[in-house]
Amino acid sequence: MSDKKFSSVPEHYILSPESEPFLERLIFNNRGIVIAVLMMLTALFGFGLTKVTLDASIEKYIPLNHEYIRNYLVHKDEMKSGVANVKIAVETTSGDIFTKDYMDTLSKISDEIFFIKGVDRSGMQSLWTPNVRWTEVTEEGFQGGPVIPSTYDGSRDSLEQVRQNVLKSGQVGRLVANNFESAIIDVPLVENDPETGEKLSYAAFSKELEEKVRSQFQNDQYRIYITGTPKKLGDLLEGAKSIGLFFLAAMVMTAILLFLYSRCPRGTIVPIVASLIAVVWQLGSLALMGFTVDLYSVLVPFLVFAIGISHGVQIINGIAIEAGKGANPLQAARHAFRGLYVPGMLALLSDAIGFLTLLFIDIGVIQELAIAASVGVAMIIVTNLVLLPIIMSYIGISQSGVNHARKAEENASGIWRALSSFANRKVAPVPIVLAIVMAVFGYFYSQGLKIGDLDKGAPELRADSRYNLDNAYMVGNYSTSSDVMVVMVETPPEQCNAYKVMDAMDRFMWYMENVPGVQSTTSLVTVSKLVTKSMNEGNLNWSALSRNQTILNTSIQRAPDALLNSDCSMAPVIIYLNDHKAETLETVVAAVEKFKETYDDHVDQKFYTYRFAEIEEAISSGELESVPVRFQLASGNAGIEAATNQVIADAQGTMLIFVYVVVFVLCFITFRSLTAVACILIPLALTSILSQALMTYLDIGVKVATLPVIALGVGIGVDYGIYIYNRLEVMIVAGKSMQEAFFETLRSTGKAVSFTGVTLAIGVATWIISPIKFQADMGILLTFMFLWNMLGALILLPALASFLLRPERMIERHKRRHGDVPPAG
Amino acid sequence: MALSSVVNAGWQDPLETPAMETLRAHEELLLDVTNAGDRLVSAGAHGHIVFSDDGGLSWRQGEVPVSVTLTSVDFYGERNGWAVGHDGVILGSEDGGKTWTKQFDGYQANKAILEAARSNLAVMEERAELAAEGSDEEADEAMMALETAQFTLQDAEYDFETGSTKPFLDVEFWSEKEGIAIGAYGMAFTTEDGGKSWQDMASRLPNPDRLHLNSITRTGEQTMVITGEMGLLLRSEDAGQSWTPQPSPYDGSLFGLVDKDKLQLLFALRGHVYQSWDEGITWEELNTGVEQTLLGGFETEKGAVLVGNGGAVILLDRNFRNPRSVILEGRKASAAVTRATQGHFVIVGEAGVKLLDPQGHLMQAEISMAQGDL
Repeated sequence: MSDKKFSSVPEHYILSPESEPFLERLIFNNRGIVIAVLMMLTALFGFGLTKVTLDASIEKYIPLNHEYIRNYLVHKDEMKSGVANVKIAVETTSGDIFTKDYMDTLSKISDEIFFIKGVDRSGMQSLWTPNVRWTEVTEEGFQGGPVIPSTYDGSRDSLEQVRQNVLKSGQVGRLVANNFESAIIDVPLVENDPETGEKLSYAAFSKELEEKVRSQFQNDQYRIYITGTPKKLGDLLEGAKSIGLFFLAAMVMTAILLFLYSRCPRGTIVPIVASLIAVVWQLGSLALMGFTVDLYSVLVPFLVFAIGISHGVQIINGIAIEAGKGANPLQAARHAFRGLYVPGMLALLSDAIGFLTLLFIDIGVIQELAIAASVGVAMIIVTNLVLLPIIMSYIGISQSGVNHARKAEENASGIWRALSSFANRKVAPVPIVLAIVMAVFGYFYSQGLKIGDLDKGAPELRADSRYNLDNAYMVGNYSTSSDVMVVMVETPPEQCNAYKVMDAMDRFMWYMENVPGVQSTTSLVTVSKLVTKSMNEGNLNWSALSRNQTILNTSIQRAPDALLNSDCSMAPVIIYLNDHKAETLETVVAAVEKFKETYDDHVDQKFYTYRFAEIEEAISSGELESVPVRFQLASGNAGIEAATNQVIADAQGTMLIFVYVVVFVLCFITFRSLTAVACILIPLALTSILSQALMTYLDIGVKVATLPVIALGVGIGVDYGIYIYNRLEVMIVAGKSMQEAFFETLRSTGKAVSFTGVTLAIGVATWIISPIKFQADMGILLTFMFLWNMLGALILLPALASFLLRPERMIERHKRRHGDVPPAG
Repeated sequence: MALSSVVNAGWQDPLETPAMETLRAHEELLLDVTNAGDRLVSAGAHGHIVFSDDGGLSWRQGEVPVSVTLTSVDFYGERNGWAVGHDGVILGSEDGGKTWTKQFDGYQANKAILEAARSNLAVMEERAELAAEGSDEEADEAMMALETAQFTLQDAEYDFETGSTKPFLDVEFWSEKEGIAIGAYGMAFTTEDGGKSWQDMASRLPNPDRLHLNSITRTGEQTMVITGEMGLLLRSEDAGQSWTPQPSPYDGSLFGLVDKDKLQLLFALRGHVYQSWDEGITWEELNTGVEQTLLGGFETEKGAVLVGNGGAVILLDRNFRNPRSVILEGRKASAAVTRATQGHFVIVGEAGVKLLDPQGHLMQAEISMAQGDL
């Protein structure tokens, strides 16, 4: 590059008159060495591919630094029991569960599950396990036994006995469906193998469940339903596998398009190979750096491949045109490189930096997505802007490709001629007015845009997925909700059952039950009241908390582990919600915060570590008024989602601003003209507004999955504008009229850009059929953005240019800078 | 951290914390329901007292200065009412249940019980001294009574010190001034000034084991019956001044009594129901076919209705015969029942308010709560 670039009148490199830029000389004069080095790198990253692992750890999907999540992580290990379990419902399609055949089947399924690896056998609950009991108050005191008595023989009498016991057991709505047509086997899991310490593979567990339970026992008579976080993760990982097929499909479609476009086998294969090399580099280098692949970053290879192809096409296009002019392969490649490496690098750089703005979102998967995508795009700079032209300089484009390029340039001008009229001031107002109308409409329509997940059940999966259908069955037939917010009530050790704490919890629960969106609540208090009532002959008058600490202690002696931690310094309050819509979560969280204002004891942290006697002493010395307590948000799927929504809502604006600042700065540095930046950015902004309106229309919320789309859409979408504007400027400086300049632009670059838009759209459109809902959502939005950005660059950009650009001044500026040397490209 | 070490006073004793305003009290635990003229008044968990003027379809919440669980409510006439509950609380209203004031609580009860136990011990000591000079038998008996009094005092002292309080389980007024509140561990208080002051009357009851007193029912001008734990059945012929134990047909807990003229019906644990034609002198067990504990009852000129755990409802004819049982959907426990002026039954319990038509069918009516004055 020349020193002139530092002269007082700045001018961008694209119009640089240097006939042989330094970079070009460096690369093309050492082709052999460059290829050797790149091959070695490919071998290295290819080796890295063997280290690629799919990671399903939940932590990456949640904002670990959010206050709620930090509160949750403090107690994560203590609350495990509630998270990692699977519920299997066995439904009979005729009659009820009280038949010999049903009971036998349930028993067989129970036995089958018992031996699946990862099952916490002692914690398993079903009608057949001895830990499910009925109790009754009689004149003599408590009576009770297992629901299925040891004398059970399948006779009518003993089935009737089971029915009675079930009614007395209080399991209706929990282990037995409200309509008595199904029963649940509740299976807690041991997450780490006690012998090997190895982490349980959800995928393997889920697969085994499907094989040993669903395929074996589901028939006309019985239906099996399976829910629970481990199963959901298993299904997600299973779904992620189909990504491979999508990739293949995208590749084949791209190849066909590419061939139709170039009519040159070499021009088809080389960009695909170069783009695949970029994918290998991206996956391999990240694996070598220690990154794992998750359900988001698994999508990055698509983007890398598609972006790679789209830039490759520009180069191939350039080479074909040069070859058509009679250049030999080396010259054609060098000229194409010279004309395209700057806009190409600029476009890729803006992609990469645009992706990096995702780092502002403090959620592991998004940050890793940002890194993976940025690295991938950086790789494309090497593979498709360097490697590809070098390869082409050896093999050259085929004669058929040259002919096709020449023919196309001559023939297909009808459509370009028509399109070019948008650069005419008489026609231009049409798209501009239309754009304004759409922007205004889109803006107001997208006011209804929601934060968070809006669908019922597991939002990661489709509403009609097996998992969500099973989940809907459970919710419909059992007294449970799948949307749970957990508030952790913290106290000093041994104090979680102090009267004051229990009473505060009791008030909290009732307070929350009065909040719209809350169905019910459960905690240690529920157990205490129930047991106190039972100890008093089942008399309802006694279902209250006792002030007598001894009675209070007795009442929670047999409380489930899930309701208090081992040293009784934390007791969760489980809040069941109607749904996990953002408004519901906001209302509930606001209510909890309000309650905290009154009831949280703001005392020195040290008191929370005081032992029982020390607290007693502090109270009697007047240092404390009573046992300190605080209500900590939040756990449960709804709690985590509430935190995620807050992070997303905060990051949404920041990220949008940053990504636009980045593309603004990059465009401005390159083109040194505000009007140029306006021509490129206004179509992008329109796409951003319309994509928000589309999200509103499709009921897609702003969430972990859709937030990156904004950055990706803008980052990649800017490419079109850059290529088109660059060419347009060259033509204008060459002295053509606006419409003529745009026509020339369309004939060369426009063709490549429209091809690029379609290629990119194909790459992401295959996601739309993914079984994983958020991948499908991303697919829809990105497809829309890629296509719409393309249209924006082809229609709105010239219309804006016709009003904003001042050709005379542009020519003059160029002359001042470069004299009579014609622009490159 | 530069925080003051004294705990933020957000939490206060439930006896000092007014009941939270709610629109869901009719779906939450309610433990008693009674009539105040045409008005229905019901009390339950979290200090809820709600009232309805349309037979239980729409309810409003009374202003209650405490948030403890209330177990019983009783009205004399349309305006004067009392509610009792956990932590020994007694509340009074003079405006038909709209506003309530605290008349008495567990701490006062503990103090009164302690004083009563002390004076009782003094009496017993004196009696023991006198008896020591009498026959061995008399001396033994007096020593036993003294020991009991000592234990009673120890318990009273313990409760007083730890602040452990006992719940009242029932309240009954037979004029604007006179009433009795009874409860757990033999606790019993009486008033003659409409609740301005309450006096301990446990020592007047022949209940040496301090069994829970579950219900008190007036069966005549001056007569009333207390039922309690372990078949306890006490009767007073002089408006509560003196009480005598009655022979009991059952040794489990008796939860209440309904009567019509000379007919009486006792209901108890595990579906046990006993009937008497002679005001409780002789009893005969009635086979109801129900095994659920019965907690509440109400009599009408046409018969009686009993309610209890597991959604059990028993309807009896005008002779308190021919029991017919119904299970309420959802099988939630009921605690009390009364009849609305409109003729249907109003049942309260675990699942709040339920309305039952005279034939025993659950009425599919929309029950709701509204804020403030209608």
